[in-house]
Parts: sequence; structure tokens; C-alpha cells
Amino acid sequence: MRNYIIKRILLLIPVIIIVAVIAFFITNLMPGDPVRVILGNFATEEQVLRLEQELGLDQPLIIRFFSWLSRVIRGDFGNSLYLNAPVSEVLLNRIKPTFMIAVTAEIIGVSLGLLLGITAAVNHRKILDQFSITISLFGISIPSFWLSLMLIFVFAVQLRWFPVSGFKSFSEAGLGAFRYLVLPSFTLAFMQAGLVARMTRSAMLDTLKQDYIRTARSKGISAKNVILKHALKNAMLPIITVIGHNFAILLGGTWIIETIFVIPGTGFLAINAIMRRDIPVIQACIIFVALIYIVLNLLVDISYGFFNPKIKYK
Amino acid sequence: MKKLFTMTAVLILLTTLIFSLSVSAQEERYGGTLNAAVKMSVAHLDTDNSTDSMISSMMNHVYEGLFEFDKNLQVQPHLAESYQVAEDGREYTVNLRRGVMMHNGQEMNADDVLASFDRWLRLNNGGNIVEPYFDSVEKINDYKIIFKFAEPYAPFLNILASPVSNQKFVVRAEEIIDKFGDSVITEHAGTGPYKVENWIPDQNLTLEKFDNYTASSLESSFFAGERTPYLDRIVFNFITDSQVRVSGIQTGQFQFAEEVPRDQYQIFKANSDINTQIIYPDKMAVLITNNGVPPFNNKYARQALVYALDFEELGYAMIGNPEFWRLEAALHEEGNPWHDETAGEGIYGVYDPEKAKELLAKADYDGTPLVILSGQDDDMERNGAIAIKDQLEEIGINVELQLFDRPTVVEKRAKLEGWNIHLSPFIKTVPDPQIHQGWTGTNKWITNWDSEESREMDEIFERMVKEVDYDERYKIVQEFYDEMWDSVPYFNILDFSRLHITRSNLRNYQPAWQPFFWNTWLEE
Repeated sequence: MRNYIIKRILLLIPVIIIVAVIAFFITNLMPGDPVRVILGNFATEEQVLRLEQELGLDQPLIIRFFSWLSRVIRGDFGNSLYLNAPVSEVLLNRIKPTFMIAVTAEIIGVSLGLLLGITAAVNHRKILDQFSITISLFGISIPSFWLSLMLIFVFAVQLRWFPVSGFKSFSEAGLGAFRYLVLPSFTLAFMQAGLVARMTRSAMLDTLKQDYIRTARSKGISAKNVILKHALKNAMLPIITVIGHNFAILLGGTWIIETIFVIPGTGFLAINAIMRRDIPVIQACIIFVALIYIVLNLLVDISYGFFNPKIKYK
Repeated sequence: MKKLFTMTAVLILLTTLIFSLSVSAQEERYGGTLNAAVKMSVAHLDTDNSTDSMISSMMNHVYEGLFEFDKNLQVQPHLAESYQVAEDGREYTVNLRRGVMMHNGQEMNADDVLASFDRWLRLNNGGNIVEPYFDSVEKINDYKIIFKFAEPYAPFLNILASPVSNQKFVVRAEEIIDKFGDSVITEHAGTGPYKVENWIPDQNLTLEKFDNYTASSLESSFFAGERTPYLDRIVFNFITDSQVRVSGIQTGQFQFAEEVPRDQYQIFKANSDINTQIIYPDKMAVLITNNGVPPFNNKYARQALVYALDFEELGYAMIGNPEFWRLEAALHEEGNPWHDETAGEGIYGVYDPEKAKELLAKADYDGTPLVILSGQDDDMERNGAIAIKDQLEEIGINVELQLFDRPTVVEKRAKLEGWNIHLSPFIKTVPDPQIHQGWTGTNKWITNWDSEESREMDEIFERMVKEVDYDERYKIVQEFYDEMWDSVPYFNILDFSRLHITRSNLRNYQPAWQPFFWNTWLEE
């Protein structure tokens, strides 16, 4: 097991280098001039040249690439062209809001999804099954921007329970921070719940047909134990894969939700960086998202052993 | 009976007095935090280092100019106490107000002004307009300065106070300029009624009331005159989604929302919690041609474009509700000292496709598709570009529409090749005709205009810059309009207004070209 983890971590290095190279060239070759964005509409050529020199953008691409790569290997992503601060500092500040919302959404979404999925599987082809399928279908189908605007309209504008937008950390607002988390988290959780519910239902239906479930039932084990200990644990492999994949999406930042609710997270940072051609920030965001996917995939793979001890790691 | 009458009269008087006292107590209330929702974030807060007008709009609360514009676009001394212009227009003597405190605890003096002026001249877009004509500045004493020019220079005061983009000259503390030099300033010390408390990039800017603010004694009028900081705090929240800005006003989370959808105007008007603010003068939709390559390197092709377009149709397509736009040929709106009623006579708004075809033939246009390069994120630019394409195709011109995000548009339009027509919003509130020199003339801005006509235009501006007499200068401005509508290096399609909304408890809000919140207060 330990050797397997070390091997996987070592394999991360070439993957990250390949992602970094692609990130550098894609961001530098895409159209759009960051200097003119920073300087505004009526900048003169002299102002443009001066800022290009200041930012080192007047150097040939290949020279910029090697200088950038050597810095990135040391963990230095340079300075944000727009925000005038080190990229690593900017990114670190933005991870916290995204992480808070992702974790809250994941907890709500997985709990709701498992509940709906199990309910549907246990009540197969009954009214509760249809109900769960309908809810999960809504979760998958409703676009998040529409749902978020509807939630704002109902719970913020009409009922005034929650703020329309914004974000406050627990250190700033104490428990009041939850008020800012509810609407964006629930929007994201609804989609999560739909995906998890459908996967849970299908995996549980397969598992509930297995002989060992019938054996467990015939031994007189309670229905609750049969479902949670025997069926659910064995059905968890595909479910955990979906959960891991979706959690990676959430941690990478969901720019639509973060933009609508004005949450200063990684998704909001990435989309703003693209709009402003803040190249160092875009590069760091790409590498960050790749890293999240790789690490979460590794964790999901490791978790397979817990749910199914027959899986051996080499 | 007489006694009863007297008592009744006294009672009525007392009631009126109490009522008026309670009303005035309700008005002009100190305290509270105003939350403003503005539509986009800014890179930094240093106006000299960016032409982004959003920075000026917020930092107008922190920094003030030697001169500021009033509601009627008349320049007024602000940090200046008085001034004299030498008869030959070569010298401007400015006396500073005494006892004006800065946010660093020191009194503003000539050294702060000189340091700020030197930086503005080198870095700021407005300073760059003045710099070629500027000779030197002399400090007579701590409160008296003389600005000198080699030749007569008429637009100086107007450009010092310019409300266009970031152009205004503002006074910063000398120690801040010494510390940051040409780099972006991240610590701020000005003389304004508010000081910077906290800036969280991409989230918000919080300004705090400056307790030692020294107000001008002139009557308050937009940016000029007395500024009273009633509010304790002003928070500018950067909210990109317009619907979220609207929702924030509906719930009372925000008291001001910038640029909200005009199609919801009637809904806002019907809501007693919301006040609508239509800004005029505000913007103009300007069509810019690439005059460096065929066909628009020929003035007949440019004239043809004016005749080929139905401006009224474009107004409905670009903006919609006619309460928010109006046809206007002059670059200065009605009421502006430089407005010319006769501008564009005979060509502006004359929709004549046949004449357009004749002029195109005269220009030897070979039928190569015209490339319209425009932004896709702004309604006016996107809808306008689509409507212009439709109208040109109706008269048989092939058009290729290229809609991109702003950084791509900005990069592409800076090149000589690859585009023919570009649509861009310009600020309408231009206090001096000289400011148009920045984009009108030989190879100015993106027009790639280099011909006999462009040099004639340069010559007009050269004369305009030196003429200090208003009447004589106005005649030169009329010459500028004649030349502009004859050679058409670019043209104004129409003027349009943005719609801001305020919560009804925000009182005394003035719908100026840039939002400001001194002299406003929040009703309980």
C-alpha cells in the first residue's frame, strides 16, 4: 500500500510538468493583450511599451518560458499582472471561500443524494422511487445559474432570510457566516444530490439482488443493517468515484455560482483572470485544478481498498 | 373672538415650527454605511496608472483636484483658492487654499501639488495631453504656484479638471509620491472627505469618513464646491451580475446600483423603494473606421458609411427605449459650452443608401468584405455591430462580423490590418474640445488616419490650443466640426444614458457622470 502511494505521488511529477507546459503555451498564445486591459481604453503606445517592459512581456516567448518554468519548479508563480500581488498569495486567499462552500455543498449533496438513492432502491418501482428519481432528475437538469437566481429571488429578495450576495469568513462574522454559505452551497448541493442519488440507486439495485444480501436477510439481520452495512458498503465503489470527481469540480471553483453570489473563490479568480488576460494567475489556476484532480483521484483509488478489501495495491 | 383667533394662529405657527424642525432633523442625517454595487472591479486605485474611469469614480472621494467641474460643466477652483490667467495665455498663477488637511495629518502645500503635478504630467493620460505644450512650474511660496507654457495654452484648466476617464489632476501627499514614484500607489493620502480604509481586490473598497476634512466654501454643485461627508463609511462592492445588483437594491443590502438593465425601467419606477437615475450627459456610441487601409483610407467611403446607416433604427437596436438615447451629431451635448447645433448638417442622420452606393463607387471600393470588430460582452456594442452588419448588407455590402471578449478586441483593434469598423462607447462629458485631440488627428488612437485631411485636422487643433478667447476659440471648434463631418475619421451615432438605481432611503443623490456620495445621507 505504501509503495503504491509513493509510486502514484512520483507519477504526479511528469503529469504536473506536462500540464504546466501546456498551461504556459495556451495562455501565452491565446489572443488578448493583458497590458491594454490594465491600462484601459485610451492608453498610448508609450504607456503600453512601458508597462510591457515593467512586466517583462517584451521578452521572447521561449526566454519567458524557461524563466517561468524554473520559478514554478521552486513554487513561485510570479506576480499577478492585474492584482499586483504574488500569484501564490492570491490563490491561497481564494482557496478558503471555495473550500468552505465546496465542503458544505458536498456534505448536503452527498447526504441528500444517498438518502434519495437508498430510498429509491429500497422502494423500487414504488411511489417513493418515482419521487426520488424526479427530484434527482431536477438536480441534474436545472442549470445552476437559473436555480441560484431563483433561490436569490425567493429566499433573499422575498423572504429576506439570506443576503443576496457576498461572503464572510467565520473569523469575520462568527456563525453569521453560515447565512452567506446557505444559498450558494444549496445550489451546488442540489446538482450533487441528483448525481449521487442516481448512482446510489443504480448501484444499490444491483447489490440488493446479490445472494449475500438474501443470505443476510434470511439470517434475520435487521433491514437497516442489511441496507447500510451489507448493501451500501458494497455499492460504494461507483458512488465514491462520482463523489470524488464532483468534489474536484467544486474545489476547482464553480465560476458561475461564485460570480453570481460574488464569492471571492478560485472559480471567480480564474474567470476574472481569463477576462483580464492575467496570464500568471490563469497558469496557476490550471495547475491548481490539475493538482486537485490528481490528488482526489488518488484518494478515491485508495478508498476502494476500504470499501472492498479484496482490492490489492501493487 | 380675537383672543381665540390669536391662539389659533400661535398654535398653527408652533405646529408648523415643530413640523419643520422634525423634517429638517430627518434630513441631513449623519452616520451610517452606504453600500454601493458597482459593475466591475479595478486593478488598483492609482488613477495616474490606468485609464479606467471606475478608479477615478471611487477615488474622487479620496483625492480632489485643484479645479473641479460643477453641474453646468463650468470649471471651479477647488483646492485652489483663486487663479489668474495671463492675458497671453502663457502663465497660470494658482493660489492654494490654506489649512487644507491631508489624510497623513499634514497640511497640503505647494510641494504636494508640484510632486503630484510632475507625476500626472509623466504618467496620466490627461498629463500626456498637456505635456508637449508645458514649459515649467514655479513655486512662489507654500501657497502660490505659477504654471508656465512656451506658447499660449487655452485648455489647461479644463484638462486639469477633466472628468474624462482618469484624466483629472488630483493632489496626493508628497511623501506618498516619493515612496512609490512611477509605480502603482498602494497607500493613499489625499485631501478628500473620505480616506481608504480597506481594499479587498475583486470584492470591495471601503472608504471611511475623514474627520479633519477641510471643505471648500463655494456652493456645492456636482464635483465642485462644498463636500459634506454625512456617511461614516462608503463600501463599493464589485458585483458583476446586474441582476444581483438589482436584487441587492430590492432587499436594501445596497443603496446604490450602477448600470442596471434598462428594460426593467418600468418595474423600477413602479417600486416605491427604488429611485431611478438616468444619467445625461453620459456616453455616446462612436463608430470608428480603420482609416489606414482600403476602403476607409478614402474619405468618400467614410462618408458613404454615414449615408448607409439609419441611425434611428440603430438607436432602437442598440439601446431600445428612446428615453435612454437621442440623436446628436456634436461631440458636446446641448448645454455644453462647446456644443454646435449645426454640426453634421446635411450628412448626419441623412439615410440615403443610393448616395452611399455612389460614394463607395467614387472611392473605388472593390467589394472586399468589411470586417466589423466589436465587443460581445456589452449590449450596445454587440447589438449595434449586428444591426450595422444588417443595414450594410441590405445595400449589398459584404460584411464579416467579429465579436470577441474585450481583451481580444483591444488587441486586434490596435493593429493596422484585420479590421475596418469598430464600435465603442465614449464618454460624452468632455469639458474641452482639446480632449478630442487624443483620438482625432494623424495616427491618433486606433484610427490609423494619415492623410492630407488628418494633417488639416492637426492644424485646427494647433490653433485651437493657442486661442484663449472663448468666442474665437468657438469658431475654431466649428471648423473642427466642419472638417470632422467632411473627412469623417470617426463619428458619433447617438448619445445614450446608463440607468442607475438608488434605494429610496439614500437622500440628495445627484446623478452625475461619475457617481459620488458626499452630500448624500441615509434616512432612518
